[in-house]
Amino acid sequence: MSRERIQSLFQQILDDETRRDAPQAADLARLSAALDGQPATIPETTTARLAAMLDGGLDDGARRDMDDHLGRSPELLQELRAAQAFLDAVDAGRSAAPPELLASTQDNDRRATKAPRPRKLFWTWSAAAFAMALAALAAVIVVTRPLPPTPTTLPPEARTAPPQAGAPSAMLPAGDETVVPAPRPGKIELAPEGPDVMPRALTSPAPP
Amino acid sequence: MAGRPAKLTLNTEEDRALIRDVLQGRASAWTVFAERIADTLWTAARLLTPDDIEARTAFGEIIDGLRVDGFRRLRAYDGSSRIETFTALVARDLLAERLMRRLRQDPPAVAWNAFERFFQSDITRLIARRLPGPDHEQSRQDAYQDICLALLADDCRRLRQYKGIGSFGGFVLHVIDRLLVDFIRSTWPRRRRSETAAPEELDGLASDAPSPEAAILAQEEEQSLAVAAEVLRRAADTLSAAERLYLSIALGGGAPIPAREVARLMSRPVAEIYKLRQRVLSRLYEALDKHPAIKKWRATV
Repeated sequence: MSRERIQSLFQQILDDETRRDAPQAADLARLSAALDGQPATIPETTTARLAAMLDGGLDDGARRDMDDHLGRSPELLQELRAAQAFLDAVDAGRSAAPPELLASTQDNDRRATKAPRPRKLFWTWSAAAFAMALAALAAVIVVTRPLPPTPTTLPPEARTAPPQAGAPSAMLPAGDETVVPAPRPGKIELAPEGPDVMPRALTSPAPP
Repeated sequence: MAGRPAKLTLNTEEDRALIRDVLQGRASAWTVFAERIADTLWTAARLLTPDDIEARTAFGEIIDGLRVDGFRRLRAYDGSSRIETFTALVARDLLAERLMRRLRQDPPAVAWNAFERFFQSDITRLIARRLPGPDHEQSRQDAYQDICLALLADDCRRLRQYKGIGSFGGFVLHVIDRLLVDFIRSTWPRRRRSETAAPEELDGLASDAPSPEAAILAQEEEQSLAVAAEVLRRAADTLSAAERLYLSIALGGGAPIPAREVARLMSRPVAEIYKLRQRVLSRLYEALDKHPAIKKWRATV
């Protein structure tokens, strides 16, 4: 082992012109694992950042961040290189999409499968709960409100007392008399009673 | 190599407005967007799938993938790249995820066919970078076979080790590169010994054992490599982010990587790459001189 030999190895690594022979290439391949570390946690926006890196659209701060990620993650560096090669291939082999495929993207039936956003979901359920509470409150009010007198709740004397001339019938709702429909002219016919409308035991006995 | 410009003059105001309109569900925004990216997505699908029929299915799945969860994938777009660049890479991500599902669900032969088509150009590119030149033609073919067999082994055990950290594509590429390094490590020491062996040992009668001189030489080379690897690790901790990235890129190939190619990958001018090279080399020499093995060696010389 000598210092010169290792210096020579480092120069080979960084050299950008001299062709290497097979043993040199093998040595460098073996050294390439030296910087391997733990896989970096890669954020969701990586694809956007890789695209920006390759299009030269990162500002200085974002580029420093990407340099750091790429220098520490061999996977991400492989991804950058693969992305560059892939984009070159797309540019070189660009072909027009078949018209029927393009048309299929415009199909209104293929709508986005949009998941409800949590905030919207919260308000939806809140509104539903509020409506149910309101309905329950209304039901309580209706049930507990004193009912207007009916023939069955009136005292017997009131039920049997003849109506006063001009006074409204106790059986009619309050309001104008015109709301009471007049009987239709002509013969009133009862709907035929079918055998299974009501159990026979509960029907009135048939006339002799 | 096909020419994408090293640096684009980006004017993405309209692109950002278009994506914003799509996200907000504005009338006709999706139509305009789809017409704009359809050719890019179709080309991507054709490149990454085995045939036209499969490409059509893949195209539909890319469109569905873009629309899912209220266009979630598009929300990452911030105008720092062209829409075409961004969507092409998103399409590649979506098809890589689809491939991962197929590896779990499809019959092995079908899934492997799809996998090989997806990564074929990447495997070839990685091998060509580590084993460049006409002398390595046979070695490149051997390496390709070796890598495919290793990936297929134990019902694709290596590929199934992906735990969801980082992208599936990046994981696979790194696995392939490390398999390639293993191939080179297992192949070259043998060949180097045979190159340095005495002529009478090459007639097929000699054993594989090296001569005493060759064994000493090989041992010294191993020691040098071990020290160099340790110096690299120590120096890397002292480098800036850009310097470390430059070193990682330089270590990625058996062939010299032209400065202009590094400049393109790092999105910097070529002149800056040469300055990075000088700084990194100085740091490596500093770390080398501080290494105990080198100090000891100097004391004995």
